[in-house]
Amino acid sequence: MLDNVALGIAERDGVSRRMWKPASKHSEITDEAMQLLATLALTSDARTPVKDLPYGRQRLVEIAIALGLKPKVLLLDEPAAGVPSQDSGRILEVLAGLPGDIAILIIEHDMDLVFRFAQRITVLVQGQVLVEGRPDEIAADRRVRDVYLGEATHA
Amino acid sequence: MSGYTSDPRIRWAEFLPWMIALAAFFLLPEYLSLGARVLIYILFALSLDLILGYAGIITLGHSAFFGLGAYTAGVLSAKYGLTDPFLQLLAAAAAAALLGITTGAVILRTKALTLLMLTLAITSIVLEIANKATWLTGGADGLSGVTVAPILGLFKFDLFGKTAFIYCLIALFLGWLLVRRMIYSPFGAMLTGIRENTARMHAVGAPVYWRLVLVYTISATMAGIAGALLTQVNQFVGLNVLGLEPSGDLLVMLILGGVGRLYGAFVGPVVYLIAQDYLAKQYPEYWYFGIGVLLIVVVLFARGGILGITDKWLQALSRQIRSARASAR
Repeated sequence: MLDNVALGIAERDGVSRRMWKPASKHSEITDEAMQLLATLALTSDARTPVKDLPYGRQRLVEIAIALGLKPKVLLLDEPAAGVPSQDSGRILEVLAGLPGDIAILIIEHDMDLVFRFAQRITVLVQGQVLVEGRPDEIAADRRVRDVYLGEATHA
Repeated sequence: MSGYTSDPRIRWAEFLPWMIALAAFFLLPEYLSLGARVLIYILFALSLDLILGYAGIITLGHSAFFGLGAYTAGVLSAKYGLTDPFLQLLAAAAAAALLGITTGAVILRTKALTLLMLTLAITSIVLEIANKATWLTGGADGLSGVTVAPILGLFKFDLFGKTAFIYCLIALFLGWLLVRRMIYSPFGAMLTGIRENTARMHAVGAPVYWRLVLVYTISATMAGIAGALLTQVNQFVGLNVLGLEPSGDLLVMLILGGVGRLYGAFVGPVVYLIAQDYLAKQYPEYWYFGIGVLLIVVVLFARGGILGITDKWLQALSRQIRSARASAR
């Protein structure tokens, strides 16, 4: 599993073209990968094949790969969907701890998550923009309340 | 076998092939010609394993490079009087590399069946050129009159194949060293990544296409060198080094041994060529039948080839020993 993360980091650093020195001796890559795994609490799974990991952890690995590329923009489509709550909490912590100059676009239905993070929210209904604004504006918006935040009844 | 988590140190079992080869040199002097051929095919299979087993490039056209290398060495010697073995190897390597990079750049945009058919087309084209250009290649009669000067001016190619055997063994050792370093390197890990999940390698920013062209060219070069070695050892080139048949044979060898395991390329040709040698003596007309049965048995009962099943048995054995020890306590 470590390989998955290391491959991305190696690609970012241009190490992937190197053909002579063994990959596991490129400690600058493996160390960084291990560090990344540690921040996502994946250290104990470093040598487990990804296919043997529970789904929630696989999602974490995907995020680790993405973070390994040191992105400027991070697009996340329901990052916590299908992830057990203890793992999803970890995802949120990591995202919250990212440097502020990374732009993150999250598509999410979980309103708790949305309001915890978002600096700007765009509400979409049936493929059209309903309203756009700061979290407090959105939370106060009557129409959004009807569509998303309101009672269990759906239109 | 490769990647950032694997231990690149050489294990004791990896000395086995070389010890067996040296033992064969001293113990089986009457089989050295066959032995040299086995070594050449191991090098050829190794080059295929690099692209098929690690990068996941499926091909039936690897004989194009093998054959081109063989003819390059042969034509240079027979028609142009270039007899130095190293210069022949160098020229063959360059020719094969050139063909590898040009054809690879075109066909590696495709994959799976399309790719398979294109590789087959390329070796068929090369075969037809060799067949028609009789003034250069001797056509269907083959190219005879190949002479090879003594290696470094010291070691003559003798009748018993002693020089040839050691010469091929050294070439194979260098090829093995290169491939082994490569598959344990970041480059090898990246190739495995492409094989396992091409989309993800695109996503992390790898120039997948160029990497494939690169490894294809490296593999083609190795195959070309193997072909040139065959010419030098046989002092003859025939059309049988080109086309579907040698490609298919090679694929069968690699599958017999085990794809993507590095040493499958060692085991496969040994089993195949020894079986062929034996069967062809016993049943000159039906020897392919024996090979067919062997292939069926391996594919049905030994997924991962002979090495795959050996691995499984060894694991089962060590499990039994462990549980026996545990129950003894």
